[in-house]
Amino acid sequence: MKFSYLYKKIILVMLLVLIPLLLPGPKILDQKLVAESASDTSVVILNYHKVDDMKISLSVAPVDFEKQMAYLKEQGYTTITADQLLDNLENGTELPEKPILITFDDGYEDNYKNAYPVLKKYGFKATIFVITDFLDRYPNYITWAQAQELQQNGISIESHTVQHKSLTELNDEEVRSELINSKKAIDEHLGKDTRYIAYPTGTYNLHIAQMVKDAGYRAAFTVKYGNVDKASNIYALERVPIFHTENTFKSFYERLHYIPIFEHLGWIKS
Amino acid sequence: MGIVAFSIGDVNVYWYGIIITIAILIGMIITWINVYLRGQEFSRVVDILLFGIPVGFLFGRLGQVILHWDNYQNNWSEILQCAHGGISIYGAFLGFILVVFLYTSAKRLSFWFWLDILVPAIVFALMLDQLGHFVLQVTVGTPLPLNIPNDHSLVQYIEYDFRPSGFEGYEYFRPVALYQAIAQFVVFVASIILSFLQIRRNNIKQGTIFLISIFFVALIRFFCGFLYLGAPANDTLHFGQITCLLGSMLCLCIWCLRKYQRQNFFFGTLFKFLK
Repeated sequence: MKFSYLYKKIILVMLLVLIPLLLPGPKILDQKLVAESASDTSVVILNYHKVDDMKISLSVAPVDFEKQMAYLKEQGYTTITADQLLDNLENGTELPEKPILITFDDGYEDNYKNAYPVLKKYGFKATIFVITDFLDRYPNYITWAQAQELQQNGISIESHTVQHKSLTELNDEEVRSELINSKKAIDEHLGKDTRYIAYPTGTYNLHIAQMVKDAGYRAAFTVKYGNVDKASNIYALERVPIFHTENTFKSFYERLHYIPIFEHLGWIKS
Repeated sequence: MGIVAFSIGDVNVYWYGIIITIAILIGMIITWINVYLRGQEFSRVVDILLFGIPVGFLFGRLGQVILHWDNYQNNWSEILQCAHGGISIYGAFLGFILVVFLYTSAKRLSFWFWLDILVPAIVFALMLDQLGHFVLQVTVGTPLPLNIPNDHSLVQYIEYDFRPSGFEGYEYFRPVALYQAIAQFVVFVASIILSFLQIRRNNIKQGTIFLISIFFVALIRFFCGFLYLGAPANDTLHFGQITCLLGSMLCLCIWCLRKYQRQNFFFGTLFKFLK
């Protein structure tokens, strides 16, 4: 009696082990999605704004920024460029282990003064999305000269439109002008082919995304909280914003590690 | 979360399968506690599961094939391709109940008594199944407008590739599967409370807990069906809703018949096996 009970339990365990191999989902699944999910691309894109000691949420203190970069270095993260990310999403080119993309929005001067030395120290690459009309004109934004230096040292300069207006509130002509003129400005000043844009205030819709594509950009970034994988829209790439909070490092750590859960709860920016 | 948890070489291990396995394991623990409190033998549950899992899987697959016959009628080899997804929860449930019926008949046990023992685990497994639907982004509710405020209300973000065609412009949808899971959790707690009452005071007729729980679970599915995205615009009910409505009505009828069979000689003889 006891023997056969043991056999039964063994067979039961074997059945339970078989189930995860046989049930991919309750509905018929697109095989493309299954294959992409198996290959496991999942990239975190960090989104910073200011790096100085103003006690506002958009402004990460330099001391905290240094701590976060030190953590990334210590944990073996490899910073990548937007080009590498695009190559992976479009062509499947492999990314290095633990890839991470560091971005800054708006092009504040403190990015150059405070963040750039830290990035240089750790040998990190990053991307700054600049508001082209504000450079050389307002004092707390970087200058074109500084932008040139950054571009030549691994910090890629990309577009954040001409005047940082929310694209969903402009008509088609104005949107096109914002997109095309910002690209032109960066291309001329820095002698490059600008491929990436971040939507000001994160607002976009599919029509705007099409105009972004028509203007010659290859990918676009939003402020939607999430990680980038094969199921993302290349003109609506998700990012993780890093804010100054009561315990900035703890928030950074949580956001870096717990994205998939937050994403599935549709966690709107807190 | 993705569909594939990890791969061992060429063989994929799927998240949904892992969730179902965890559901069965936790269900076994719950049932073990139930069996212990009633002074029964757990080996019966092991026997039921040994037959129940394969038959449930088989009937679930059959249910899927029958309900989506137009997908399979042209290529029969697809029926065997479990790795392409697709299992019908209605089929699996029916298969499991059938196994319980046949087993209790063969071993001369009381069918309704054992259904009562198993029902908290069944409801819990259904709840985890709905959570599985949620993380896999397969159950899509009606879309929410693009400019929703940041008020931490429950929504579901569906990644671009998983969005149903025509809805690529929307990011957030109603988390129908989450609503169902929460409602089923309430039914689960109720079934546990009723089980305790049945054990302690012995005043609840056997089978009632099962009928009440399944009645409410089916009703929940019926009402949530209105929030599904695929709902036809002209107010017809889709198959899942009709089945659940009929199922809950059937539970109600059986409950009434069993309750009043003593008073009613006609029904008593007609449904003699509903002891």
